[in-house]
Amino acid sequence: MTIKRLCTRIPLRVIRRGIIFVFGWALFTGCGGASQFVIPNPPPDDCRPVPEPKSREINLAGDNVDKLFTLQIQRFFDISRHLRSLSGSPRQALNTDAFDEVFNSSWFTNRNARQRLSLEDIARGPDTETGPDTSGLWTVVRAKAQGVTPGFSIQDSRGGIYLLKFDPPGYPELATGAEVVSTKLFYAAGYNVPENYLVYFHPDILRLGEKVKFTDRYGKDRFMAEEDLAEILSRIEKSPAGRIRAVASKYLPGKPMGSFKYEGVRKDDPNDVIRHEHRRELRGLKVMAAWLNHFDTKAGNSLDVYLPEGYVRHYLIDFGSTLGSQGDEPMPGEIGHEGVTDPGKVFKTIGSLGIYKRHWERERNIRFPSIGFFESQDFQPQKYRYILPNPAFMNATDRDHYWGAKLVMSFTEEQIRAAVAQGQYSDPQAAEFLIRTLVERRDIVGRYWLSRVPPLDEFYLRNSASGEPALCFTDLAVQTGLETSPGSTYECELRQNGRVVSAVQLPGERACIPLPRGEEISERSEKEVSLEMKIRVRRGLQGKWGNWMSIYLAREASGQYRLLGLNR
Amino acid sequence: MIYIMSGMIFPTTWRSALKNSGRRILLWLLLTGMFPNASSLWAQTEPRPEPTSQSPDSVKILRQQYSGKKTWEHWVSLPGTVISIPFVAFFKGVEYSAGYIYETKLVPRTLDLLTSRDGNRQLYPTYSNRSGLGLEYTHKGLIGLRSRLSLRATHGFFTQRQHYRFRWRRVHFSESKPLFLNFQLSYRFLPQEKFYGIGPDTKRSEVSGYDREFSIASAGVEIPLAKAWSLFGLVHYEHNNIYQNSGDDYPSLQTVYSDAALTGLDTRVKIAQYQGGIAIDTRNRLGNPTSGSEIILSGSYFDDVGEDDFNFWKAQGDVRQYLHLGHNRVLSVRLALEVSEPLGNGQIPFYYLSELGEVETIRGYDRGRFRDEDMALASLEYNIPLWYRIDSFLFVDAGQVAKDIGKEFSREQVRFGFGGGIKVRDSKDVIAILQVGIGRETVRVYLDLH
Repeated sequence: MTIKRLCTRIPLRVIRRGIIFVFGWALFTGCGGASQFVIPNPPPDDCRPVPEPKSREINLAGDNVDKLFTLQIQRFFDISRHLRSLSGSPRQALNTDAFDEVFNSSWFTNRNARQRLSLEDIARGPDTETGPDTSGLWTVVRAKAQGVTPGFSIQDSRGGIYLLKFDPPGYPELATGAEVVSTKLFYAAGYNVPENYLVYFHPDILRLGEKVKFTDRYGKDRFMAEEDLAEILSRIEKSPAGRIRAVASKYLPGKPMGSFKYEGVRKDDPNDVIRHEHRRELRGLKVMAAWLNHFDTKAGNSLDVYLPEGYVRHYLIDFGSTLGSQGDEPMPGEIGHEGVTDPGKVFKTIGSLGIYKRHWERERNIRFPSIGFFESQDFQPQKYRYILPNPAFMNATDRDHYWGAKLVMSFTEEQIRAAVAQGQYSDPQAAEFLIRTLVERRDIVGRYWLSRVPPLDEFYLRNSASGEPALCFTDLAVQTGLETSPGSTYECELRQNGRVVSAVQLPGERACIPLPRGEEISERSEKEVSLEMKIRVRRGLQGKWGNWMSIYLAREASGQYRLLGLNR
Repeated sequence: MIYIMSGMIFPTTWRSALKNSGRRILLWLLLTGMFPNASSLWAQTEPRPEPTSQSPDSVKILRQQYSGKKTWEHWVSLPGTVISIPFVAFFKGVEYSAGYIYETKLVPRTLDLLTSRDGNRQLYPTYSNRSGLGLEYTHKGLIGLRSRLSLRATHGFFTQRQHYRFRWRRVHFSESKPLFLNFQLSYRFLPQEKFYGIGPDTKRSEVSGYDREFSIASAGVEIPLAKAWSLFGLVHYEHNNIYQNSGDDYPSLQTVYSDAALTGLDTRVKIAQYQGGIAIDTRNRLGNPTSGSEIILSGSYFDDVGEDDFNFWKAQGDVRQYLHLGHNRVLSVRLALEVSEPLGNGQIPFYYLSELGEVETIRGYDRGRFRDEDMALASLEYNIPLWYRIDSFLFVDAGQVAKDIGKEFSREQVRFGFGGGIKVRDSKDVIAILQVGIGRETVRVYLDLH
């Protein structure tokens, strides 16, 4: 039977009713689904010993085509994604707990946002030692002439192996400063990063090892010659005295397995069961990356390492192209505003006959060569563009953004100062400029993403002095100084099976909601009862009420309350 | 009575209505799976445990499914996945090709192969609509640091168009007070050239064709005077052969015109040209200037060194001004004038007449669409940067040919062409230009690879 014949056999009224049903269902489900709550199971422990996966290299050019074209086509034809989008219910991250937080894993460890790190911890970051020994000779063991920045690996007199990265000529402290500062901040946020040490050395301590493998600029693999080393050293910034400032990135413990992708799973790693585009820490990285101008979040800037303990840990690497540095030059103006392709802006430029001006065409004010181009004036975290489409970022929802913003907002100005101090900028004004810009960008991030969902967090139950139970919380916007307590009002409704049991409006000074002792909850009080506390926030007397969020509680037969989770 | 399903409430009547028809039940099942709020439990879970005293009645404790496979999303997206297969397959092919090129370092290795270690010698591909595809070898600094020797061989794609050229420019013996010498030897064969008649009113339908073959030997001198000023002189010898049209799309020139009606329908036409002129170049960079101007004024005397009587002179003026409008938007204005005049009883071969319709004159017309002794041209080009080293541009060209442009210039006979294009450039020069010209009669696409 042909489709045409089938269509003619179905009465028009059935088709019409079907369409009405579809839209009705969509509206109905879209409005009514919020009360549903699922307590997720914790994901399996991904630090269990597993057989060693195969090492793999991601082809950068192929990956670029994949992200720019193949991925876009697949997303275009992904019907379920469009249906989710229509019904206002995007797919949420899969590795969160009942309170929308992530578990510690081989990807991420909850650090500063969970428990504020001391300034010493921030300054130390992932470091476990003091870096390579500059008093002895260094043997060059591997080098590359390709890529944006030249570099080589050395073995110091103590046997430690480090990858050295340098500043581009004319821009002392630019790439090395960015690398170290971003390392400290990403680590404190919770990501796995390598130990990056700032070192100062004289080229005289370098010795070329025997049969050092070398890939020249034409892609030829051969043994390295003294001229190659001299050529690399000629392309890097040196002090007038000939000393070189570099980042010594310690080789990660274990066996490198190649980069991880921001989509799918690594099939030969049994621990890797959650698709990467649905991992909260990778989706939330979008906000951290925007804050630190880490535009190049491609697979190539990550590394999987098979640890001696027998599992794969996932690292973010290469932060030389963050903050105001692009590695070999100050950050170009278009970074963060345009990806590698932006047809919309190209059409705007042509369509307006060049009247429309893009960010990269505007004058750039590089006040400090050591900082490069890093600004907060035009920074809009919601519009920040990464150089390539990132599948995890593309799937990020407001909840992921909120989680990422929590990481960013967890950094105090003192902590940011402590991280920037590790960049050892010789010009105090340059360091101060970087701190100020980071703080301003942090607040812009918070102001935007903490307003998209109710920024209420750290819920706990407590009994008042009179024995009244109460549900208490922290308003992160108030805590971080973005909003004021007197200017905030909270509307709270306690519901049991959809019925409002109690409702209250609290002024901003009070962040504890009294809970009924029992008489209001008369039904089935012999059993444990589930309750939903809905809260929304209003900023200012004339402001609009924000979206509702729900906190789920259980009231035991004894009258004690228990927190089950929340839904934003 | 209500029916609770995935947290949703359905009237019983709906349920019973749906049960009435198998097709409706199928639709209901599909929709249940399609909409996420309704199906979020099904989507991420396996069998739902019954509520117990440990699991409060409105809170479901469920197993989460992490892989995302075999959920309703997988099945709902299946039609889209099937449709996308050819597109995805195509881009997967591109992906693997790009990956292979990257992996094998084909581009840098090829460049390495084609470029000498010191970067002075290079072999690279070249393409233009007029000459076709070919290779050019250059050797910089052979005599004098600024000298450039080039050997070029190109061949047409669809016709037997050929061009072989030896050129050695800016040869100089002293770096402090340079006096540049230029040499050129070339052979060119242009089959199936079009001729539409002489004058501004020719019709496109009255086209005829010819094959042209010519060889050139020339030597010139360039004397820098001041910072941007220079004098130049040239002695040029050209040997021309005009043949019957080798194509069969339109009639041969020789069958349409007699020798008396059109001058130059001969073989072995030998003409010497003696040219002198002045050039003023204040452009800020050569390939894609954003400011400055370029002025070339020259006069030439053409002398028949064979058995014909082709004696004439030609004066040419070409002025280009580049105006920087800010943010790298550049407006370039060009005015050009060409005047030819026979000397005594001399004549001008038709292929030496001024032409309009080239990519260098009015874009959007066939090459050599209008010919006559004189030509006036004005052009406006607006350059807008699109991306790193990629520019777009819009242009309007206008021009007219006439026997005496001073007396016969008429606004009605001015031909217009407009269009736009894209330029790819490196830090010094333009590498490729793709442009589309729209004229009153046709649309022309031009590609030049330098």
